[in-house]
Amino acid sequence: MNEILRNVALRIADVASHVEAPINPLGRPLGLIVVGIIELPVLILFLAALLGKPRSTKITSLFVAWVFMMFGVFVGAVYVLSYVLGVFY
Amino acid sequence: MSSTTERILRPIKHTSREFYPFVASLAFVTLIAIYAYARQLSLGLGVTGLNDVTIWGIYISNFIFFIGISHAGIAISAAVRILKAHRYQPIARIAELLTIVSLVMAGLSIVIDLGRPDRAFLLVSKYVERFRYSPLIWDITAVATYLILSSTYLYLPMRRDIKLAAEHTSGWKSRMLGYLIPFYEEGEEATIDRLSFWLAVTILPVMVMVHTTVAWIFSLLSSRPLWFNAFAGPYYIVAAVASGIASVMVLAAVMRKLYHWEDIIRPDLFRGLSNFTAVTVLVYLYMMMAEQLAALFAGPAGEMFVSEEWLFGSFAALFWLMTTLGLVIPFLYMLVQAFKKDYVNITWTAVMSFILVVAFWFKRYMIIVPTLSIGVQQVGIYSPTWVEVAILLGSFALPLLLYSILTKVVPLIEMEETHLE
Repeated sequence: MNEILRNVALRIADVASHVEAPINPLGRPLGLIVVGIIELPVLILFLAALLGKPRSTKITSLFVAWVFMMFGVFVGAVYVLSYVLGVFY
Repeated sequence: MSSTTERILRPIKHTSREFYPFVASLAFVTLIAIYAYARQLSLGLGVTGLNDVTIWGIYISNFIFFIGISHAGIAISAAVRILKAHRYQPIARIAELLTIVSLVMAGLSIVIDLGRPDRAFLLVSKYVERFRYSPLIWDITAVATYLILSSTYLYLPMRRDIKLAAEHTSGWKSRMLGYLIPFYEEGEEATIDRLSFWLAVTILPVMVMVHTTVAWIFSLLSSRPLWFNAFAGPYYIVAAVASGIASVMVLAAVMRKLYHWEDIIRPDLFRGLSNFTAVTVLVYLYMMMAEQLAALFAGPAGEMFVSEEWLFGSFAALFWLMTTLGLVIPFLYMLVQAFKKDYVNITWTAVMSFILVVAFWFKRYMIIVPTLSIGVQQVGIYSPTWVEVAILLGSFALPLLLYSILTKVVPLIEMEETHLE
């Protein structure tokens, strides 16, 4: 009997915590802040790369090109993988 | 060319007879995993042990594990550059390559876990509307940023070494290496050093955010027992650093032995890493104790129930084995070693590090499976099928295979004479 009651109590607690746990109920721009914190260092990096010394236009361009290329590769890989794996459906 | 440079380039210039069967066996295990994944893809997630209750299992454990491993590379390398810890320079690139390979594996683990991986593109196409409320999207943002910056950080300083390697090889190897360094110009090192310094400064906070967002995937689900925890970010980061540095020690010990780099990768380097790992494991054990004590003493019903299962119930054997054999014993070994003046046993340090790495994998499994399988409805049972086990083995064989191939393409140690002679 105790076991049954215990299980019932646990389920009620679980359901209650589900119901009472809305995501970001106050609607603060938390996602924007998190993504901002993640990407802020990249902005600093670009500024340091473009403004710091010693400077070489060729190497700085290579650096910026490499970063953008890797970004393209990442996004491209997601799409290619989606497409290739989608062939199986 | 100095003898040190010659020895660093040896893996690129020469391939031993044992290398081929080793690579072939890794490729074989990877192929079995691909076959298993093809079955999963065509028949659906029903071929796995996952179900409506336990929606995550081995694949997501792998994801957290590989993200954790990826921390060490940049942590070590950035320490070399920012803190001028030059004695760790010889293993910096070994660690950086580990970061890249681990990040790729972490990404693949997510794709493998998807029931409909053909919809993965939605991550990109729906990014703008989802990032406001999805910790998964925050994590993908952080991982992608980390991967892009890490690859840049690996590539830029490597250009000079690839140039050197191209000069000292011939035929197709030399040509291939030449293609890897477009627009190379003499004297570019000063600019690259500056960029690398800023990259190191930049990557560290991104690295912290990567594992923090991984932790948030779980800890922002307040209905899941033992997941909802404001501590989760630091808790995960400590595990990541410990397991990552332990992996680097294993890898460095193997490379040192294989390529006879005893005088390049020196014993004091292992001693330093081992001491640091001991501290992080101790902090981790403390956090684990704090988590379990709070849950058992005054946690909500579900939390108490899962904690009970961890410590005394159906997961107790795994938990205590992982904690004592996997964490406490390596910690004690490293602690005793730390107290002996100028002493380090590299073989045993590598063995203990390996045990730590395995234990941290199981810890990730423990984070996910008990909470999901017994935490919400107390009805779920999860036992991985052969498909998952095959993919698990493949997910370790593939990075080893990639790493082995990379050792034949890029110099594993920076050839800056001042650090080596």
